[in-house]
Amino acid sequence: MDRQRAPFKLRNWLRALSAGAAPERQKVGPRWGAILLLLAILGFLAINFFTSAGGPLSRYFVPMLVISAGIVLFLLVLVLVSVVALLVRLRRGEVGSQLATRLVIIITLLSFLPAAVVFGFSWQYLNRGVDSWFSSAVQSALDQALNVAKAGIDRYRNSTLLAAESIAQALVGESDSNAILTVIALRDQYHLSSVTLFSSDNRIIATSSNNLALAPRLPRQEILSDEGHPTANIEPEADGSLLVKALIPVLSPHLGESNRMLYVEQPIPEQLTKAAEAVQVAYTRYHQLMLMREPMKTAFQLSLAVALLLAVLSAVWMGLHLARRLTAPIARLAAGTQAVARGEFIPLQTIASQDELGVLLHSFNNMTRQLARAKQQAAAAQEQAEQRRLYLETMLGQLSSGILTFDGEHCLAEINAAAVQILQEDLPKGRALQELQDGAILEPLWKLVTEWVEHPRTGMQKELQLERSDGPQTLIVHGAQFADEAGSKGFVLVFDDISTLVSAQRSAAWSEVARRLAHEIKNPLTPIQLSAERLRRKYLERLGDEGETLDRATRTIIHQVDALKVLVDAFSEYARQPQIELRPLEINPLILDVLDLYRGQENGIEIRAELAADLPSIRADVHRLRQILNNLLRNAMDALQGTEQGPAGKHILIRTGLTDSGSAKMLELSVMDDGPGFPAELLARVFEPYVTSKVKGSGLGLAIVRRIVEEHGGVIVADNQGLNGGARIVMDFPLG
Amino acid sequence: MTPVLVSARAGGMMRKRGAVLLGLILGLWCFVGSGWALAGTAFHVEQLQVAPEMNRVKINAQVQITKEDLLQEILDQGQTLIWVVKAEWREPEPFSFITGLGTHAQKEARWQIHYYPLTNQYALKNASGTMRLFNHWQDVVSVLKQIHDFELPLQQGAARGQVALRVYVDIQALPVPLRLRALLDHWKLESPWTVSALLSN
Repeated sequence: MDRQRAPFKLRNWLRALSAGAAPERQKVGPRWGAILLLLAILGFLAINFFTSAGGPLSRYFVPMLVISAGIVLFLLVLVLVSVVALLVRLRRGEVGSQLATRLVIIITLLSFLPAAVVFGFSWQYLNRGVDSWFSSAVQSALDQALNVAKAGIDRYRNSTLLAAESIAQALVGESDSNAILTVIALRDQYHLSSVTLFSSDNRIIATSSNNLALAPRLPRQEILSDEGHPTANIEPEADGSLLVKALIPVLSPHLGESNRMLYVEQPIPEQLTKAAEAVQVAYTRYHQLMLMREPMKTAFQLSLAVALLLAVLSAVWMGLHLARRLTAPIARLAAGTQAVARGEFIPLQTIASQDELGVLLHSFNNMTRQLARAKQQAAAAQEQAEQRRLYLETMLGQLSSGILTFDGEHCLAEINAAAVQILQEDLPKGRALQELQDGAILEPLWKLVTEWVEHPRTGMQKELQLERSDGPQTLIVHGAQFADEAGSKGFVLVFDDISTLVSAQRSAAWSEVARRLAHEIKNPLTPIQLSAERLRRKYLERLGDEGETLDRATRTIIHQVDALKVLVDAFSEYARQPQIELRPLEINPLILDVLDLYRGQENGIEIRAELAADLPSIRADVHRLRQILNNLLRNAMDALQGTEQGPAGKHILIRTGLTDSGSAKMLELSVMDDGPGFPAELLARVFEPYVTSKVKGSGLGLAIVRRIVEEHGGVIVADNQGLNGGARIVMDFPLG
Repeated sequence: MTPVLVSARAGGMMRKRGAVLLGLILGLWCFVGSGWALAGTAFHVEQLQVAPEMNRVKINAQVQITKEDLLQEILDQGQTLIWVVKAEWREPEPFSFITGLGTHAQKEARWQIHYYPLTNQYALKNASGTMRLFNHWQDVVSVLKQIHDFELPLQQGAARGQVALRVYVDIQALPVPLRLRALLDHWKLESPWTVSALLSN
């Protein structure tokens, strides 16, 4: 496996974060990204805690909260996208999606429920806790305390105001110079801190104070704006003390003269000030808390909610990621099994872990490899079997023996080309043995087979003869039984056409007989003939008229011996071993040459020749061919002489031409006549020795012709398709 | 599903997820942003008058305050508010539209506004500690509404520029819960920047 790390890509990282689908080699990037994200979440949670607790970090609380909300939002989107992706996978029915969904649901519930319970309890606790800080009783107490404090300081305000009014009354009509003394005296009398008399233009006329070091102060502008009315205010000072400040207009008795103003300052006793301040502080703090009551709850609730969401979303997101990673090997396994079902034996990408899934994947790969090996072996075996079948088929097709195979139910399973050729019938495969027995010609064969099948023996070998239209066909049939795939017994028939063999054997046998006969008979013939001639020479003249008997007898002996010699010569000719001399021969001139010998005979027989022009030469023995022509012409003449002449006369036709035997061109030589033709009962055996329809025939002429034709590698056929149904002999010779 | 999952189909899925992600974020941003934008500011600086002098600019302006009741409520509940007036001298420069760029001088004045329930008085205290007391809230508001002779010192040789002025209540000085409330309830106790015409110093 390629261990090089692919370059980190944000797209792949995001994809890995959202669905955990990153390939193994890129897991480093998303893994670190996930760790960093988790650390960031924890960090923000911690910072939120510290910033919400107050102190110097509290100013970062709101930004931290906003950033936390952003992270929550980011997580929420990630989770939503992952959930949608999971739902899509579920809808498509992807393997592992149901398990992943279940895992995610369980993890979500496990993380959400406790967190929600804690959140709920915390919420309630916070609400009640915060609410418990506030009560109407406390509110009322504080209000009353403030009122008491106000009343306390108001008392001092009122008393200071009264004193100031009294002093102002005393100063009415007093001159500025006298006012000083009055002010001093009365301030002392009323135990006031500071008394100042000033004119309407803010000129200080008289002042008296406890602390002469301080410069006399005039009232602030806001109080002065209320001139015309005695006012007394309690004002806080910068040092925290409370001061009663009274401003009383000193009415002028003279018309047109502006009023002077008397300004009195009187501090409220420190004890009371402190007490009032304390009440004020408590009151203020309480109301601050009141103001912050709901916002505080909201802040706590927001923090709780953010923490809850962060925790739950993180758990869900991790659950999605984990589910994907856990189910990925299972999905891979399922894909692998489907591939195996399709015949693709591809090992799966394994995972590094040694847990059950890793072991399962490893085992699956082993199984796949073994299956692949087995498939290869099966394919090789099948190929071998196919080649063997083709070989057998070819062999069977090339065999000269006919083969018929029958299955266990005696239906024809196989038939080769030789069987079709021998039986001269294309038997349909699948036909039962009984159904094949509907022809008369093959009846002996089926009868033999049926009898054998009904009484099966170890094997069968029999010779039988089929009667064909062109003569008997001798078959030698072998049968053997075998067990087919289903275990039932089928059988095979192997047969050969030995008709030619039988005919050759017969011909050879006759040749041997002829040779021996010729040899045994020929020897005594010459002495017999010589003896008869001696007798004639010696005694015929001596006996004179009484020698007639001797004359007849010896003549008969000599003639018969001559006839026997002819017969013996014919036998010798037939039995003669072939010593043929083949040379290129033009057949047409030979035919014309032979015909010249027969022309001019006044026997009423017309001999015609239809010789094809430009015939190629053949390799032949000229003497043998001449003998063929002579034998056939003699036979034809003999056949025509025995018949009555028809209106058209008697004719013999010799024809040459080229013919196509299928595999090669042959030279065809045919001799036909318009005589009576061959007798039907002899037609099939007309080329056998001693078969003749003539009274005085040896029956060897056509046998000799056939043997000569066969010596030349040719074929000879006899039929009655000559002129007007007469006899016809057709010979095909291979070209030279 | 073969072990090799990287395919055009997976790439298309990733693009779809990215589009969904982006759409959600933008949607939420717009939602929050629009909510924030819809809440108007509590203060507006108007009638800004600027008088350049030697190395300084005197600023006079009026402030329109729309959330007086809110301010009073906060103060009456014992919370001290920090009132801030901030002025800047901005010179035209490339990219001066970016906040902070082009600002060559600024000054900020802060006042504490506090309510004393014992004496029913509002105190306005400046940075030096000088305190002014008011018996009525409206008197305070009247003072806050007026910016009188606010001096903004300039660097020597400052060229052409503009004066920008804004006022606001310092939310950061509030307790954390109130800051949160200010954020969530869209208090927006601030004014936008009001900028004068271009001046030559």
